Amino acid sequence: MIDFSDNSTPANSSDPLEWLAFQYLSNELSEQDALAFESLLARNQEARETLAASVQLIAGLKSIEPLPVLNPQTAAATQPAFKSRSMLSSRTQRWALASCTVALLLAVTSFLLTESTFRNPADFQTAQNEPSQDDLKHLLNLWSESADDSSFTVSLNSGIEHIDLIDQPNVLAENQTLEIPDWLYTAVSLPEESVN
Amino acid sequence: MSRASLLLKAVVLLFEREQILATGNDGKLDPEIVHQLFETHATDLRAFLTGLLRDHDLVDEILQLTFSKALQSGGQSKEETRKGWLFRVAYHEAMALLRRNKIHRKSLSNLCHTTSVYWTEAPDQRLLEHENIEQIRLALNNLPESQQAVVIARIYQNKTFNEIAQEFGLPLGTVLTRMRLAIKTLSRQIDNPSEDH
Repeated sequence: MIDFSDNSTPANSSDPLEWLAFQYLSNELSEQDALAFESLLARNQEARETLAASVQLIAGLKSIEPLPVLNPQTAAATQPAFKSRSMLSSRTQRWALASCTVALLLAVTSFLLTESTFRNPADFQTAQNEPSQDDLKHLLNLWSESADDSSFTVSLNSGIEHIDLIDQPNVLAENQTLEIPDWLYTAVSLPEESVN
Repeated sequence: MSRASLLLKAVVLLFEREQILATGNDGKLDPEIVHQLFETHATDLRAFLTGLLRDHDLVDEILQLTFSKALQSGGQSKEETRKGWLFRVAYHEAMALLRRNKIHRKSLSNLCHTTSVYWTEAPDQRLLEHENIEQIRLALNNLPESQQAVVIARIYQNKTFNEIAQEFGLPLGTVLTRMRLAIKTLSRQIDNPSEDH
């Protein structure tokens, strides 16, 4: 048991205060020794300050990342862990880099292909399906229905290329010419029997 | 009245006036002085109380109580021993709290195994400054490798000294001596950063 009965200090104690404080903080002192150390704390300012410094030391040690152990005796036990961790991390990094490169190449290739498709209208048109008669019929029916609903009149008889807006004379000038899309020309130019 | 006795009377009056200014006439301490004491000693006191209580909330409670006592009766202490007075009050209040709450020493966390006691976002709850941490890093790197290995196994890998002795194939006494020397060196280098190891 540690004897502090004479108010001993590091100068006349076999164990330096720092070591006792460390053992006290890591619960390594026996019950009796811990009591003896606490009674020393009650009356010795140096012991109290040493305990505070030991707490700060352990707090500091806990808040830093130590270097790998270099001791040859312990190297065999500890280095493989560090090595495998670093190898794993660099391998993962290489895989991630390769994946990113491939993904980037694919994205660029896809973008360039899309761009060239839209820049060449001929290619684009050939890519479209030829409209069937049924499609055209259906399209014309839809157009006529929507024209009825919104009071639009579409003249089919004389190949007139105008749309008269019956209820909105003040909005657009009379006989105002509108651009008719190509697909509408195609639909209108179909023989009448194919429509019916 | 002789010139000497007049001088003595003046000194006594001056001393009494200073005493009243510093302490008040009822043992209370000037709030400004208490504020200065807090600025100077709160970090060390917090570390000391952490060693005793191992709990942030309890440490805060006792720290507050200690400085309240300083306001109420800190004037009874001499200026040169006020730091010791604060630590003594903190110690007695902490021990009283442990007894009151029936907290046994064995239930207190091992400070070498825990990190939660140290880790806090609040600047006023820090146990040490960043420059101290840097000093500790340097001191650890400067230790002999044999001591570094023991410190790392004990502090970072939470191994017991017996486990360390078995792993390193060393007698337990040798491991304890290495740790003891490491603690001694680290403590001294932190106190005196320029000291050669």
